[in-house]
Amino acid sequence: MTHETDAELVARVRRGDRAAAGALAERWLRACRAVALAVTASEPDADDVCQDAFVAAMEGIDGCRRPERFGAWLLQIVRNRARDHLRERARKVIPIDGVELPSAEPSPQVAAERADARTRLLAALRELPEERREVLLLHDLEGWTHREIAERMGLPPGTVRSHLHHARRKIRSLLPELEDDTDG
Amino acid sequence: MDDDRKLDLSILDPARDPVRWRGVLDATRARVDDVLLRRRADPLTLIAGWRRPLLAAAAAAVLLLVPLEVALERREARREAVRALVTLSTAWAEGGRAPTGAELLRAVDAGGAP
Repeated sequence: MTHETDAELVARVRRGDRAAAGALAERWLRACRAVALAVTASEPDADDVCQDAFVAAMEGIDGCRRPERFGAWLLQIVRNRARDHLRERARKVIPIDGVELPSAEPSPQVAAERADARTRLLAALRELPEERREVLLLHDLEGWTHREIAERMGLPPGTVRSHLHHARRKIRSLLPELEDDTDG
Repeated sequence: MDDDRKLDLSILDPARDPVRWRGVLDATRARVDDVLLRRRADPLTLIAGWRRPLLAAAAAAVLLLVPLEVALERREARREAVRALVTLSTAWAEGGRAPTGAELLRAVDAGGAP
């Protein structure tokens, strides 16, 4: 894992350095997926969108005017791509389940149980406004702090706290069986 | 119920299926590699990459050359004035008359022009 800042990595990518792009992917792709998931509320869609958006960002890296805020810039590309993807899906059915990536699911029964839990959780997430979904996923799934979310989403910290509070309350009301994270 | 406690969303964690997630990461990296290889080969991108250093070099050259040009021009003008004064003085000497103070001042002010 590199200790270079995003700005340093962006400068290297501009010179065509593939290792720097790889380091940015390792650092940011999970967050891209979380944001894509917040918009699409579909895991296969989120996987596709986060890839496409990251590739598009690398293609247009010269458009990143403030490399020190690369993350915020990248996540905006993800949001836009995800919304385009939803609009596209609304126009025509895209066979997203046709392409299977290798999986390490332990057994069909466990896989089915997980798939069911995922489906219910995603259905509950769809009940939230998009911005709240994003805050919830970035905080409770990706482990970002309120401050990081506020900076990268361009929201006041108070709004982030409020979104998080309301999102958790709504999800708990829809899925009473959902456990608290024991890590806090 | 405490709404400030973190929810367990780990069922959505891509790392739960590390092989699949590694596949997504590797596929992304492979696509980015292609993009960057094309980018290196693109002359416009190459020029864009050199744009900033070239502009900086041009600005530095202007900063250095303009004062130099001004200084050289002044020196050349002085040399011209002296040359003209010498020519005038020679003409006055050959004519057998000394210039008046006013004539000398006028010649110096005009850069030696008669």
